[in-house]
Amino acid sequence: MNSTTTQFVPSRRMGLYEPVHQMSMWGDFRNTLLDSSPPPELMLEVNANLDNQSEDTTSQGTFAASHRNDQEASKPDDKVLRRLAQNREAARKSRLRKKAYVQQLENSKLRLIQLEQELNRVRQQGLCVGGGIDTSQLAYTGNSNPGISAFELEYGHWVEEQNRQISDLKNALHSDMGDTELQIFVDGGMQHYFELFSMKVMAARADVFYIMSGMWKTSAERFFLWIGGFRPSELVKQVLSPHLDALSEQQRLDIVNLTQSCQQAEDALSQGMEKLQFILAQAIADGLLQEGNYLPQIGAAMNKLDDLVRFVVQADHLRQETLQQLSRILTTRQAARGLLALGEYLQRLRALSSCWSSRPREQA
Amino acid sequence: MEVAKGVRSAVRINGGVDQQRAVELDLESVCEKVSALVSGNAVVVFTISGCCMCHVVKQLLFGLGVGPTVVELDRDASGGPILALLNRLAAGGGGGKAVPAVFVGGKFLGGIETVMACHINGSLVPLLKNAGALWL
Repeated sequence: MNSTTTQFVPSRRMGLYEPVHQMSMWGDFRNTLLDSSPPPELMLEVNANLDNQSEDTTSQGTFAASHRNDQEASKPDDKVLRRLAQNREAARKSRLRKKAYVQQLENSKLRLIQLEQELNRVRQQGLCVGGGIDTSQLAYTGNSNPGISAFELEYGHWVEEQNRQISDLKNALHSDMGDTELQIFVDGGMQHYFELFSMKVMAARADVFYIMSGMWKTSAERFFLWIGGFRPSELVKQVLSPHLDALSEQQRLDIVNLTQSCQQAEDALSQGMEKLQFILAQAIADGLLQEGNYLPQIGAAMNKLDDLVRFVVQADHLRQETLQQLSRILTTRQAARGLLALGEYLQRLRALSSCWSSRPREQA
Repeated sequence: MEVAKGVRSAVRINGGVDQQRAVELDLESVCEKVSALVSGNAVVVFTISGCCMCHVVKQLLFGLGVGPTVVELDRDASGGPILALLNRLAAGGGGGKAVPAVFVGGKFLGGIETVMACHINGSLVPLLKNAGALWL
């Protein structure tokens, strides 16, 4: 409010004051009465006073208003103009901000499309190294080989089933289950490993290098890799022997013999592998630095790779034979404990891999 | 001679086409040769020089202290017919490869898979001892 109007306010207020005063008197009078309705005479007086006052002020008010308009005539333009200018400025800034935001969105969208394409390309090339499969994470190598993709899927299921069997076995051993029933669990456990060996052989025919590198396993498991799987002698020595209690003398002897036989068979296979590597290297290196293309050498090398599949088959066969011999040597209860020990050992290896891969990295 | 009969009857079972009759005469002579070889030596292993599984079997036997008679078919004059014979033996066994082929005590034992299985279940060493290939 600017100063010109205020002059008239006091007189207006003064005009209003009197009726208010009178009304407050009437209010008090009203409150003392039991009846809520005021005496009519008093009301009329108040009303009449108000009317008189308003007439006076109106004439004064109108005069004041017209005077006010004259005074403001030069001012409104300035204010309105300034406000309009501010609005324009604000709108312009808003439009600029929106434009910038939309631009940012467009850039992000392009980047996202680029990343997706790159990911698909890398998956197709099978460059992503599998980090191992467990129930929670499927190692997605993006392998375009259907035999291998199928194997990875099946292996994921195998591990889930394995975990189930391990906990079932644990419960079975802690219960007072009889040997006949326990044998069912043992047979089931053995059969499950045999299924894995069959799966691996099929996968080896699809891509032997994949199996030889242990691509479907977790990193810690791969550290112990021997021809695409665990070393039977290590299984007997490290995992089973220390945890088998109450072995008879004959059993002890049998286990020692089994360990030795495993080692001898493994050594023979390892030496065969070395020979294969030597022959393969020779085939590839034949005729280096000479004229002509290297297709014959590659062809010769390809033929040798069939032998590699045979090694995977024989190594898995050795694992199977070892497990079967163990089931012959051990009692039902001992075999059940042995299977549980093996299962838990592999679970721990997988846990080690997870732990290792998620450890906090040092800042460079 | 038991081996030779075994081999011949195995061959006849797996053969059975007109062509085979003519070849059987050749096979007879090969069977004779093989029989002579395997009955004269406690352990005979038929190999091919580049074959790595053959190397595995040899290493296993050497490691056990066995000195097998090794016949490299690609270096032997009658290698081809012998290989054909071994193929029939292997086919009879159910899908294994012809080489390496191991004979112990004049009898056909099998390929790498059979030898490994026998070793793990503890039957290989007694077999070798019986054939006189191992002492103690």
